[in-house]
Amino acid sequence: MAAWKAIAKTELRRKTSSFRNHRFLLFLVIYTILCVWAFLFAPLIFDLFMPNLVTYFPGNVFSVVGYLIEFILMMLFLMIIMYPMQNIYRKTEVGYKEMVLASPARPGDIFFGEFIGKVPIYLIFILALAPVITGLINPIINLNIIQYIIIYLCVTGHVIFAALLGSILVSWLEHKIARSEKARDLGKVLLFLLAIAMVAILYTFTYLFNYIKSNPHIKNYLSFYPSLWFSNIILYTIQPVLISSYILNIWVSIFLAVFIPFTILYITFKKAYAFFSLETSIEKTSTIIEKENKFYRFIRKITRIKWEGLIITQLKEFFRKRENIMKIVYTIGLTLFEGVIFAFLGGDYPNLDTQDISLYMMMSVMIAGMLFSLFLGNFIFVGSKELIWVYKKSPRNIKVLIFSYLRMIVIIIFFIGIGLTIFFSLFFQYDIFTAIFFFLFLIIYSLISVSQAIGLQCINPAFEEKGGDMQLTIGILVIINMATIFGSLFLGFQLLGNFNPPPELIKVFFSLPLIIFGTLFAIPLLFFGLKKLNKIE
Amino acid sequence: MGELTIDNIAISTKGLTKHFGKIIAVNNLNIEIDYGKTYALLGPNGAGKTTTVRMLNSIISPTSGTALVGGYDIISQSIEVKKICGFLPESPGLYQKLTPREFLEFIGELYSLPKELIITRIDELLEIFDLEGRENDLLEGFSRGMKQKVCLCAALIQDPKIIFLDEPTSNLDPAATRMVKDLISELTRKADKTIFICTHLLDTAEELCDRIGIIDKGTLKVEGTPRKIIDSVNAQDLEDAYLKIMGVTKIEDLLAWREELPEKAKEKKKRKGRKKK
Ligand SMILES: Nc1ncnc2c1ncn2[C@@H]1O[C@H](COP(=O)(O)OP(=O)(O)O)[C@@H](O)[C@H]1O
Ligand SMILES: [Mg+2]
Repeated sequence: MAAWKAIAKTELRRKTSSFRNHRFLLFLVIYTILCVWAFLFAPLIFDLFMPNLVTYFPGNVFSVVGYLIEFILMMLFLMIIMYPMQNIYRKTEVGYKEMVLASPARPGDIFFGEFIGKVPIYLIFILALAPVITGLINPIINLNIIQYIIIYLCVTGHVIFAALLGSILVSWLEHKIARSEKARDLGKVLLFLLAIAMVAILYTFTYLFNYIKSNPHIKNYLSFYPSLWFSNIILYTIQPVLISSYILNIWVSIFLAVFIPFTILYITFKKAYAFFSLETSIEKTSTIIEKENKFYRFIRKITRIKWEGLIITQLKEFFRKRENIMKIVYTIGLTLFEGVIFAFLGGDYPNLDTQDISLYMMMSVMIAGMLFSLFLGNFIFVGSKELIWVYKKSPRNIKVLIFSYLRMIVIIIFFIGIGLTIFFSLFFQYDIFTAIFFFLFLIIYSLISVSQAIGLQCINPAFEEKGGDMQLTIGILVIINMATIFGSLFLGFQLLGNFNPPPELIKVFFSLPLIIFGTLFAIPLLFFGLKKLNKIE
Repeated sequence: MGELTIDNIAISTKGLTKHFGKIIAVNNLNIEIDYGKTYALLGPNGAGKTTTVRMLNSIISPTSGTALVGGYDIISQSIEVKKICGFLPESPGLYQKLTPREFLEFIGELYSLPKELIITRIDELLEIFDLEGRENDLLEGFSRGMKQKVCLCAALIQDPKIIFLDEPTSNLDPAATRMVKDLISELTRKADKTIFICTHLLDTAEELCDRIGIIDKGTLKVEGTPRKIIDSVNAQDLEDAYLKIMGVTKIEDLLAWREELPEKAKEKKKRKGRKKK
């Protein structure tokens, strides 16, 4: 058996290890469900609601469907690239790689084998996604068999290419990580950048939809983004006019969609040694800390004695990891960026009315809260599982870990909150009451949001060496945040329409739903999380 | 031994049992250890030693049975148990971005010790464990043995009455091993501590311990002083006795896999399968 085959088999086994006694059954069930979905349910569902969409957008339903397809593929491309990145947190993976490297297998075999081993899993993505695309199109024009085949081929190519890029990225990062601690920080930041790009696309799509529709040429700036090559082919098969405004015509798209993935696959196979040669000596940095920073001494002064040492411990562990500083910078940067962007996109800046200001305030707080939960709350356990035993062994038990971490986050949010408040007050010309309101709103919502993340982590903890799936928690957090924001916007506008409040109260009408929805998620998550954590073994 | 008396028994377990799903990690364990004695729980990897000490430290709760540690019940009086026990875990759980001094301060605070006491104890412990020059380095740069030393300091910082050491010498160099062994005997002789050691190293157990229990697959096989155990199976030394008790395969069997032909192996498998039925 060729080495890559053995590696592919092991890879598939490792990925499905939790179903190790029923692997065949597992795939049978999944593929059966997906086929039922693809050939029965998806067409039924789309036949139900597509006629509505057609009447809703008379005349240009094609372009609406076109945008939807482009958007779905864009999101999916990022999601699939991110999928293999969860490995970066696991130290044991490096050990496994060392063993494989010690065998006579060549780096190209290893890379190719690991990649092929994941294909059955990516098949799931393909079978889940393609019916959505055909379902969107079929009710408008009846697809013939050739068009079906082309669409399925495009989706397959798209998914596999994204998976390939993700695998290369991860292998390269793991390679770097094995050689330097600094790269580990890089990997974590990269994962978050991708998550943020995903959210950005989602927001852009939701809020700039009309803008893009009237200015299709701005999409040309994205021609380098691979999912567009594939969506162009799909759009062309259903209606050639749809891609007429692109720089990339159909031939260039096809060329890129076929040529680039195969070239990359070939190059990586040949050049795999460049990202698979594991250096035996992992660089160990030795940092000496002579004196406690002024910041910590200040914190010592303002915290109560009973918690002082624990909070200081959390703060030191947090701030001495370089990637955490980056995360804070990103949180601040993205929140500011988003606030400014919304203000400009809404048009009238700087002549905003109270409703606009309240709406933008809510959006900014919401974004800040989500970033805090992704960047801070999610990382409560990323350390060794052994630390859990240290806390459990002490008379103060494990709950002090959660509460000292929360207290640390209050401190961090407090300082960041001051900065954000000053910026937004100047930018939107808040009066003093609005500024204070913004500050309190920001802190409260951020804490609620972080509690959601901590609760989720307690239920499904991600440790450095083993444990829950970070990708899953990030996904759930993003979904929770989306539900919260759309629920709150809906409720906010409903309340506004029904009660017609005085201008000073409009911001309350927008902020209250956000806090209520956030709390509705946070309390059960934290409650069950703490319960679960108490029983961890 | 008759009635349980709180006065002179440091640790006593009553039918202590722990299941992880289908795995029975510890099965109906009954042991008694007097104050001031050193006890070794010997056993191969996966025997249930770590699970036992975790239960005795109220870190995980038993599936059934219970135990008294220092006179306190591990289920209903877990906080008291945690206060009087020190615990060296099997693999070091440390905050990588703290210095040894900062980490030990943190542990001291977890046990709510007064500040001045923490600082003087840290100085003394760092000196004993020869970590003085490195006390301001971040722990991430430490080797495994050095991390273990820091964890040993952490186990001792609250001056516990009863000390649990899970594989205390497994990652240490010979000099550090000697030092830990001396420390253990000093602690029992001079400071009158009760020490519970889990190990698979026979010499450690034989040298240090008053009594030894041998555990395999969660069940306690034999218990007694090293002499008594050796005599009971007519062995020459503890290693011999251990191998006899565990029923370890003979040396000839160890290399049998090299000669075996595929067909023969199949036959053997069949025979084994039949035997089971
Ligand atoms: N948290 C856990 N979850 C499931 N099984 C466990 C857990 N901890 C230990 N075990 C199982 O219990 C058995 C005893 O483990 P352990 O007490 O660690 O052995 P030892 O310390 O003697 O090497 C092993 O079979 C191990 O797989
Ligand atoms: Mg163990």
